[in-house]
Amino acid sequence: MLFNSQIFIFLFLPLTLGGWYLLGHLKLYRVSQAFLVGMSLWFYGYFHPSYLLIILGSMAGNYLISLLLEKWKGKHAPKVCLALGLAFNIGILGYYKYYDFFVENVNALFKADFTLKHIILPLGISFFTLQQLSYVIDRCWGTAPHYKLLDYLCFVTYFPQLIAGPIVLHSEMIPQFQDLEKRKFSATDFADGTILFCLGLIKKVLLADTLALFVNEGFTKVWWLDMPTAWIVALAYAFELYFDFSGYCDMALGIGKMFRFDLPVNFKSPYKSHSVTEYWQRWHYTLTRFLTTYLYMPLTMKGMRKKNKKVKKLYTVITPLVVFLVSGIWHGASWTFVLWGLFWGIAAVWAQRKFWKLKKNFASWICTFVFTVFAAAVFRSETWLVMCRFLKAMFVPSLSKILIEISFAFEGLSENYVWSRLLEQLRPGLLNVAYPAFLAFMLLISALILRGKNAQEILAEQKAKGYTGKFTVLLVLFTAWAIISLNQVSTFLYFNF
Amino acid sequence: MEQKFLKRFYIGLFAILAALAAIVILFDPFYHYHDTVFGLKHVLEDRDYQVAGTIDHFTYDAILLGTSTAENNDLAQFRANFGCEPLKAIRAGGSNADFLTYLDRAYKKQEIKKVFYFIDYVALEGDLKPTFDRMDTDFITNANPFDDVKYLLNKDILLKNIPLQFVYTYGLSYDEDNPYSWYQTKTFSTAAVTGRYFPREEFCAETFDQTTYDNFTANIGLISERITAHPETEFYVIFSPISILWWDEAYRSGQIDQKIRETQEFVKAMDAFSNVKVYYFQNDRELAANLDNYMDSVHFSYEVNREICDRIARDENRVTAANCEALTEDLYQMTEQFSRGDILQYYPEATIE
Repeated sequence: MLFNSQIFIFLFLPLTLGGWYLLGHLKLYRVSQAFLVGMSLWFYGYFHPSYLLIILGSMAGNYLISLLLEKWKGKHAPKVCLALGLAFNIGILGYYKYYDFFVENVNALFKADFTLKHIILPLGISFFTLQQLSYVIDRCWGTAPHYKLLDYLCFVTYFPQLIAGPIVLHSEMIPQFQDLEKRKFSATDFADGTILFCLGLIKKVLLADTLALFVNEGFTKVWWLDMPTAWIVALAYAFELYFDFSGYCDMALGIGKMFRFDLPVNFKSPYKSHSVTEYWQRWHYTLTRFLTTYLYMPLTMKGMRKKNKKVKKLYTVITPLVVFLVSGIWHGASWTFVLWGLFWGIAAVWAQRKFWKLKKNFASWICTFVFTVFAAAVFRSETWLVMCRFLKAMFVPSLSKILIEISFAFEGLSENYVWSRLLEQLRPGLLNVAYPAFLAFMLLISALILRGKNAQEILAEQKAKGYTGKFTVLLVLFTAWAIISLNQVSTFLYFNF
Repeated sequence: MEQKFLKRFYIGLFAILAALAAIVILFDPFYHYHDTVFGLKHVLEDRDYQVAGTIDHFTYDAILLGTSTAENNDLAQFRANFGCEPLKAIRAGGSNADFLTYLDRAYKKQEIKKVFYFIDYVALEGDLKPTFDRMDTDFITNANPFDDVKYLLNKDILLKNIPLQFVYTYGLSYDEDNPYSWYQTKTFSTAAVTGRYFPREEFCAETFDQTTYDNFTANIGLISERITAHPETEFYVIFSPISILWWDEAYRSGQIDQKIRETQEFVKAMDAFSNVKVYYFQNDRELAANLDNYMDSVHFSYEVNREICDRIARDENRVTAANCEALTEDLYQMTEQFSRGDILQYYPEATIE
């Protein structure tokens, strides 16, 4: 189930909130937790009930490893359990996410003919695997207790963060589940949650999904892109990606707040960053936190322990590269993601080695932003071929009228329907100006929103001001607009037609 | 403070959503709840969403069932030729079960005097189950009132379909007798159709697909059930023309014998009913071999639809068990002559031996 769906908004969320607070009100605390787990599993299995077996198996395996560590007090227990935990989690992720990618490459490299399984990636597997991996590692490091089964199930399955993060830690979630004070309804938290959810929904549905029309069209016409258009498509995608992912995370935070649980903030205006390092502190923060805690820091410590200065220095270069390569491959099973990670790794090494000494000024911001736009183009490219073609278009000067053609992708937007049909009848030539103008409008709006306050800042401001009437009216109108945008009438084409 | 905000926000939001839903219920462009209001025209452009509603709420006594080739039929011509009030229940790419679902739905709402069923081999050889759940239109065809929210709170309905009702009623011209028609935007010519069809290089041995044949005969059974259940209705079953290029592919791929056998089985089965008339246009050179009638190897022009309608009205091109074998043999000869020689005038490089 998706947050941006009417079944979620009108059925699942009210039902789950109602049940949660009712059971809490009746002081049936364990029952309410079990109810939350049950509803979360419904949420997860809504599209593919068979996926429930995967998440249930994953939770059972990790919980048993934790239990083993609890029972086995031997000297080697942490190391054995750590190896077991890593093998189990990476094994699951490897099989479901990377099997076909691996086989494809083996086939290509050795001219072999191993059969592909065409496994459909289970929803959220990358997120709940990392989340549980962090717990198992903490258990082995001796920094996490063994939790009661219901608490653990709540931690993993809690639906607001289940399929797209943020990647939460047991230490920040389980104490909240155990805090019975949080079971009482709070108008303050509910208002905060409502605002965050609506802002996220608006970002996702009205901005990201609209920009996606243009971006998708741009990538289908990758062979005909000229230089300015390629950069504009990449810019639009950078905006789309932010509004999409941060919008979803804002919705997750908002729903969390409605239940009175605080989830970590994942996006902190990343496009305002002045350096690569700062960017990754602001973009998908919980992934950065995971990679820093469980990969970067251990590798850095290992490097620091080396006596040879050259090796030590090498570690400072290799470590960011490894971290970003892992980040790249985590994002998807494709060489374009590996390359995307490599680009970021090189940029991070560059920033870390202070080759690029820029003060925090406009130049540092624009350099960082242009790099993120470039990286976004690599990230969006589905294949190596598309990526090469797109990068060629970005860097080899050319000029054509393709931008006008691609901007006609907005023709499908119902907001444009009436005026475009009228224009079509009265002054058809003007459509060549109208759609690029609409694109410019969307990019301008996006830029202004990104320059302004983020969802957290808007919430804080409104709380301080006591929720102004103007804000409430605008929130109602845009939320209603987003809700009616969740459904559209599809044009069914007859395929041979 | 927060409580005041929450009250304002949720009351405001639900008020707006309720108002928008009320607008959709009032104008109801998919006719899900009622027929048109305020004299607005019947604007039918979203076939898969609208057919169910039109069946439920329009007034008619005849129904046209078929796939995309039946979409260009002119209702005014059927009205004039047959003295009936027709309704199009088209499902492009649909199955026979889809058409029968529509038909059953219509029988529950109206007294049906005439049924015009346009045969599509793919639909009859396909699955015996309806295909509605393969598309996201189920919310508009099922009886579940809760999923109507997808219709009531839908940007496209509010910003496209409802304005369109006004535009076509008070502004642009709109022909209500040609719903769902698509011929206006297509080019029908020999060049268009030969540009889209490329003959196989080899002639395959005749094959027989038992599964599709079983589906075909089972679908005949489903149609027969409806005919038996409704002796008061006149059924007109039409084997519309298909271009000679389509038959060339059937001939070269070794499937033509199966098609002919299926046709014969169908006609034989229909012969048992006194309220069924079957019409056969597939061996008609004027309609099937003249490629200027086509935009691709299957889809023909509006003029062909008109010609078929007139000929049925004159009771021409009838086929019964008695003449079926001769007609299908003639089709075979026509195809063989084309595939083994005449094709060269369109494809000089084509294999003919």
